[in-house]
Amino acid sequence: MSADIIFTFNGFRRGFIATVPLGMGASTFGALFGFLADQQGLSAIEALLMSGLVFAGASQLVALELWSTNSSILLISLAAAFVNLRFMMMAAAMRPWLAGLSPAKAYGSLVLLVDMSFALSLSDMNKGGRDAAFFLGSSVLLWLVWVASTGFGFAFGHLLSDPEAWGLDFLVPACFISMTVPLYQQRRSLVPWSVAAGASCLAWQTLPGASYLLVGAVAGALTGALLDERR
Amino acid sequence: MSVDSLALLAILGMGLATYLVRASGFFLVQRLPRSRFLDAFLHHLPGAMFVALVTPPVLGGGPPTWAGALAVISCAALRAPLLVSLLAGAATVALLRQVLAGY
Repeated sequence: MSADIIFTFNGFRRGFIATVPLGMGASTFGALFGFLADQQGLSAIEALLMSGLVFAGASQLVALELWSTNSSILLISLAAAFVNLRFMMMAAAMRPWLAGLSPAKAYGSLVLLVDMSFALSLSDMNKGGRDAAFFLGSSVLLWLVWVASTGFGFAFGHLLSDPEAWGLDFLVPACFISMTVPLYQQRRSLVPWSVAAGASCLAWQTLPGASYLLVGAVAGALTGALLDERR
Repeated sequence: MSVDSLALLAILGMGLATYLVRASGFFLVQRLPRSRFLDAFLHHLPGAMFVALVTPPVLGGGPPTWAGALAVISCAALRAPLLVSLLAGAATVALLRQVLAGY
């Protein structure tokens, strides 16, 4: 199954270009991070280094929260790992492509794994795509946009004072919604997705931080796997 | 333009922790015994994850984000290009925020 996975420059370019529309959503978020980093007293270099080396928006915002409270380095690192636990599940779901690559290419591609490049790669994979470099191309575009927009937000954050009036904060959820719709398979998805929605809302009310995502995802996927077993 | 050495360590710690999370999902799934249950779990994981990711904030955002989500779902179901779906969603949210003050 994995023997026919390829890794070409053409695939890289296809992934890079296919991700340009999503770059818009990422850039508003990146600019928001740059703006907030400035507010929290990070230097420009620190903000850019964090975007470049961590490259995970939600955990970077959490770090900004902890920054001002004199938290230990260990706590900040653990918080980042916890907020980003979803990446573990995404990397697992990328197995059909990654298992066909050399370990260097697979673990190298995973350096820049983020939600949007995962979602786009998954839909390319589901459409029969076999070129795993698509994933890296998509991630690299998002990384460039992320670092550049962090710098932009740091420098010009005051100009973006009211992005919500333009609905720009909705671009990120809109990306995920539009990529979820094609995954829907009537009988097979309805119950697991309902469970995921219910569990995540419950956890959103009761648990701290981003744990709602993990609770909902695991509850939904477990439900789906259990239902499939009984079918 | 300066880098505090503690800040640099914290950033490196975050980066390392996040990479270990990224790498470990693939590392573990390759070493776990393959089973139909694990395959089914992984099959359902992405959809469940996206649903869990967007449902609470969209529901919590009030009528503008509810309508925005409906607009995006409709566009995506009609196989509109991604950019069209995104703009339709953002425009719907922006419009309703103008009409319904307070959201």
